[in-house]
Amino acid sequence: MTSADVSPESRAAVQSGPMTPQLQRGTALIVDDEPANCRLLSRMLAREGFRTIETLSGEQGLELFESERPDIVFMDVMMPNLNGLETTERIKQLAGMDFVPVIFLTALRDEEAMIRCTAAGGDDFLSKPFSFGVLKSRIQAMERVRDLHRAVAAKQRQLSERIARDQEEQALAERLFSRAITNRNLSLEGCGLVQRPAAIFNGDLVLTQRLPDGALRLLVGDFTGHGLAAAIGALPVADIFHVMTRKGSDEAHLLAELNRKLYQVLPADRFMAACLITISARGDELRWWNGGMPSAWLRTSSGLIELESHTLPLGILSELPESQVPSPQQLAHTDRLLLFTDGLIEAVDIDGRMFGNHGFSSVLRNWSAAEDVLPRLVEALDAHCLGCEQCDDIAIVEIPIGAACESAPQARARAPRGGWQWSLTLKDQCLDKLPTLESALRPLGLLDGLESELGALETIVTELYTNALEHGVLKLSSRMKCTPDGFEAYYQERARRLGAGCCGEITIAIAYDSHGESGQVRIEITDSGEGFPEHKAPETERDAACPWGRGIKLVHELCESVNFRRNGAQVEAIYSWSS
Amino acid sequence: MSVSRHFDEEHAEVVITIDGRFDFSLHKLFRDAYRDIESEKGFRVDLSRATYLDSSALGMLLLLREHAGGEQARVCISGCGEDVLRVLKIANFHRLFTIE
Repeated sequence: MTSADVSPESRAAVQSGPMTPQLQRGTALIVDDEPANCRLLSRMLAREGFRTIETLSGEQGLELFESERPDIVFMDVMMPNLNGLETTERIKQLAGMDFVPVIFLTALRDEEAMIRCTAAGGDDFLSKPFSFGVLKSRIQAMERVRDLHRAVAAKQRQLSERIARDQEEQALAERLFSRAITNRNLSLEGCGLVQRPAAIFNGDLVLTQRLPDGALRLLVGDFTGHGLAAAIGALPVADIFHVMTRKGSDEAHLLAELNRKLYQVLPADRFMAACLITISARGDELRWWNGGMPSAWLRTSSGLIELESHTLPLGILSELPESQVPSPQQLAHTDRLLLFTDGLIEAVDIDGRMFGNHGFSSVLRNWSAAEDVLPRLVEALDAHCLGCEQCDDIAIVEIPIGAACESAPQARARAPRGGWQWSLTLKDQCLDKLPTLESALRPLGLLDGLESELGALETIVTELYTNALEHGVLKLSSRMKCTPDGFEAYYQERARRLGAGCCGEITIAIAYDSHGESGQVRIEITDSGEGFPEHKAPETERDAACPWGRGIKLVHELCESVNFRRNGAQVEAIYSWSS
Repeated sequence: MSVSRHFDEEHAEVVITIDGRFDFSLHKLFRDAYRDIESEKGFRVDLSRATYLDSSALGMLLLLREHAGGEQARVCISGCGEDVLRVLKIANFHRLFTIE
């Protein structure tokens, strides 16, 4: 407030008052149709350090309240036209979430009058005539309440902002995170997948990948709990699953490695229940392993086969316990496989009954051979859960065996002898427009016979290109990603630098060479930057949950060799295979 | 919903009883029920009054097992109802605990 805002009278009072109040205490509005009362009260309040505004009517009182936003209001009860009670009701509405104390000045002393004043929104009373001492103490009491209210409201605002920001950050992190995990999955025509997370981050995991011989491998996992803590273990699991499956590792090795990694990174009370399924490329055999997941079900032409949990979940013991591997199932193309996490059978209805005990078994019983069961299952689940909040993540997968092997690439023997070279240069604003190899090379017919290598090649090109773009051209440091805030800041900064018209170019050159039995793809990526330190391979194995430095490690695992030159501004990766 | 414990002199073991839903909300109470007890003691988790058990409860049981000596732990789970037993069975926890 400037000195011009202070009425001459109150300013004089502040300067010469016997109590010499230290500070301005804000604005007081006085509404009283008796001018003498107004003046008297105004003088007292000015002495207490208030700036005062007076009015003789309720109508004008409302106008002044809106224009001046006073900190405290003194209100006469009996006034012509709009009386004190009505005026107070309106004032309280206008104040909304702010607490502005209204003190009634009344000559009435009966109980009923006081009740009416409180009902109208009044906060205190002063009985006329009142003494200066009583006035002072009532104001102090009201100010304490008001200050408390303001402090709470400020905290509340802060809290709401924090919650909103937190949710936004979580949503962003989840987007990056789920892309890192599901992007490498196969897209399977004809297969059904339903995923319903209970929190932003999902503790359920569905991974799919093909083995080199065209067999389909599927992992459905469920981490203890949900939210970020549950989801964090999904990163190393997805890495190991994709890399080892592409390399053709068998189930026992893959499971041992997953178990070892999870035991190493997760605390003692965290683990992952999992069901691992492998369907042969010809669709005639199914191998399975179930550690702690609800039974999976195989519907064949002759009946239902239960694939029951037979061992401990992953990540509990340092070594997987010895357990008999379930015998493989013979398959026909019309068979269908159904898997789900415990969120499905434990979903409760309004009376707290679980879906596994009410509804699920009848869906299963009525599942006829070769029928698509997912729509009916979801319908029954929705009917069961009507009006209830979902408390656990739910994932359901249905695989028609025929469709799963129809999309299987044929063996790589068809890879053509000979070779080709292809290159692409992206500049400036086109830098973030890297096409997938699939979209760039498929129409040219260059991928014929290379289908089973495509997934690995896409990963190598994408990871190396991302490095060249982010560290080489945009000069971002991955150290930024060390903290959760930094992780977000990194991607914001990336978008900013890209949007700000960055200058630079990146060239990708791919050469394919085959002698029938074996083949090789050489990938060279060159950027216009000065190089970057991130190309150096990590010296020690980093924590698997570390949010950065994973890409380059993955490339090393997939490739026969990876060589950086010119301080990282050029990289050559050799990927090769033999049948 | 509560956690209580007592010493069973006859069987020389600590009995932790869960009443109601056994889920993450009991995390602190459950841990407080055993953390001040030496690990060599035998433990029994009485679930006869537990109505439900979720995967975070499985995690809490693993923490108790670790406290009680891991591989050497003497931890017994007793009195399981049908729903509770099903969850323990799916997780194959009979490999880690004595389930009565």
